Amino acid sequence: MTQRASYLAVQIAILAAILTGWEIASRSGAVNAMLLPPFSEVATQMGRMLVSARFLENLGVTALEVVLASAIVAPIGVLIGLVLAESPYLGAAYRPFFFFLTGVPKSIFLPIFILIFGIGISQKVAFGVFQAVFVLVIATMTAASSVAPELVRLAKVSGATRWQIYREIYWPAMLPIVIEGMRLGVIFNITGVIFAEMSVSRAGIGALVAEWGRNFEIANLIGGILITALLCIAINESLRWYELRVGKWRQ
Amino acid sequence: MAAVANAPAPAPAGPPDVAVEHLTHVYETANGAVKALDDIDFEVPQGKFVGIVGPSGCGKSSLLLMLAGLLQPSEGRIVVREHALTAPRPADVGVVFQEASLLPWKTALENVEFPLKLRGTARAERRDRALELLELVGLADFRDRLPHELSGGMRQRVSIARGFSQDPKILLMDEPFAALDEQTRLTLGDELLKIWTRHQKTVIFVTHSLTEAVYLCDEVLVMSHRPGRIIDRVTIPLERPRTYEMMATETFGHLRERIWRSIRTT
Ligand SMILES: Nc1ncnc2c1ncn2[C@@H]1O[C@H](COP(=O)(O)OP(=O)(O)OP(=O)(O)O)[C@@H](O)[C@H]1O
Ligand SMILES: [Mg+2]
Repeated sequence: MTQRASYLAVQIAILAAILTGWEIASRSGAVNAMLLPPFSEVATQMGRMLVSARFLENLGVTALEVVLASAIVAPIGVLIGLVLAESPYLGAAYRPFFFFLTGVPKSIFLPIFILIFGIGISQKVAFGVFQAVFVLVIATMTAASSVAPELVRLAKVSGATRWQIYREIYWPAMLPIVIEGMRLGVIFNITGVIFAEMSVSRAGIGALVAEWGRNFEIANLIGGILITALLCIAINESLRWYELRVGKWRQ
Repeated sequence: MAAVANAPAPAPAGPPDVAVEHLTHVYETANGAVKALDDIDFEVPQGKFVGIVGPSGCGKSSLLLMLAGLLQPSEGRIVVREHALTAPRPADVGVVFQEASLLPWKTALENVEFPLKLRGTARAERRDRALELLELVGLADFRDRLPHELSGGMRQRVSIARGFSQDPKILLMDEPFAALDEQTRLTLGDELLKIWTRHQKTVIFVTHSLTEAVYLCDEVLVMSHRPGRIIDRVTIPLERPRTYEMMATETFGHLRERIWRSIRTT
C-alpha cells in the first residue's frame, strides 16, 4: 500500500514537472507561444470547451458513433469468433482470412466506405465496426480455445447439462479474454471513427479538431486533443479494471 | 455389539455395480497407434472397495476415464448398475481425477459446492455440506482461497472433498492421495473408509502405494506394463474396520509382498 502510494506520488510529481516545464517554456519564449501556448491558457480553453454547445454537440456525435459501432461489433465479433472456434470446417476455412486482415492497416479502405456509405454517420459507424471487429473475433477464438478440456470433462462427470457447461465453464473461462478483445476493439473503433471524421466529415470531435488545426487555433487544438485523450484513457482503464476483476483467477 | 459394528458390510447379493468386459483401448496418435489397455475383464460388486495398481503408463487413468464414460473403449464394454455405459452418469459415478482439475475462478468452497450447485441444491444447504467436507479434509480455513493460492496437496484435497460432495454410488479415485504427506494420507484414507462404510459406496481406487492398497481395499487388481492387462487379483481378507496395527502384522506383509512380486514380474 505504501509502495503504491509512493509510486503515485512520483507519478504526480512527474506530471506536475511536465506541466510546469511546459508553462515556463512557453511563457519564457523558449518555445514559440504561437505553436505551444502556455498550459494555463490551454486549461482555460478546455474549461470553456466543456461548456460550449458546439464542442459538446460534436463530442456527442462521436460518442453516438462509437456506441453504435460497439453495439454492432460486440455481438457480431463474439458470434463470428465462436463459430470459427467451434466449427471445425468453418474455422479451418475462414480463420486465415481473419488473421491476414488483422495485419492490414484498415485506414487504407476508408475511400471505399465513403463511396458506399457517403459522408454521414453511417459511414463512420461502418468504418468503426470494420476497424474493431477483427481483434474481437481473434480474441474470442483465442478465448474459446483457452478453455481447458479437463474442466469440461470435470463438469460432465459432475452432472452438468450442456447449458450448464456453457454457463459454468465456457463463460467464466472466456470472459477475461473476450473483455480484453472488447477493450482493444473499442480503442480501434474510436481510432476508426475519429479518422473517418477527420478525413471527410463535418461533424464529430475528429472533424472539429481537424478544423482547429487548419485554422491554427492552437489552444483549442491542444485542448481538444487532451480532452479526447483523457476520455479514451478513462474508457480504456475502466474496461481494464473490469477485465482484471473477472480475470483475478488467471495467474 | 462390537462384533456387529466391526463386521464388514454384508455383501449385498445382486448384480455388480460395475462390470468391465473385454475392454481394449488403442489411442490413435500422430506417431501411430498406442495400445493402452488389453482385454481388461473384471467386476466390482456393490459396496466393494477395489484397488488398481500397476506401473506408470500402464493405462490406469485411461481405464478410469472409460469407467467415467469420458472415453469410448476401442473394444469391449462397461456396464454400470445394469446400464451399458455410453456417456457420463453423474448420479451413479463420481470421479476424483489424478490432476486436481479445480475450476480456477472458484474458491475452494465453491469448488466443493460445484456438483451440488449443478443439481440445484439450495445455497445454504450446499454451503453447509461443502464446509463440512472442507473441514474433513482439513481446509476449512482456506475456504475462500482460489486454487492458485493453494498448494498441490491442498488442491488435491479440495478435489477429494468435491468428489464426496457429489455423493455418487460409485466413486472413481485416481491416485487421490499421491500429492499428500504420509500422515494426511493415512487420515484421509480412514475418512474415506468411514464414508465408504457409512454410505455403502462402491470405490475404485488407483494408487501407487501398495501399503495404501492393502490397507484400504477388499480386492486389488494388479496391472502389467503397457498395454495394461490384469495379471493378478489379490483378495484382502483383513477384517474391518482396518487399524494401523494391522500394517505390522504378518498377513499384511504377505499381501503387500504378493502384490509387489506380481508387479515386478511384469
Ligand atoms: N490422450 C492420449 N493420447 C495418446 N496416448 C495416450 C493418451 N493418454 C494416455 N496415453 C498413453 O496411454 C498409456 C496409458 O496412460 P495412462 O495415463 O492411462 O497411464 P497411467 O497408468 O494412469 O499412468 P500413471 O500411473 O503415470 O498415471 C500411456 O502410454 C500414455 O502415453
Ligand atoms: Mg494415471
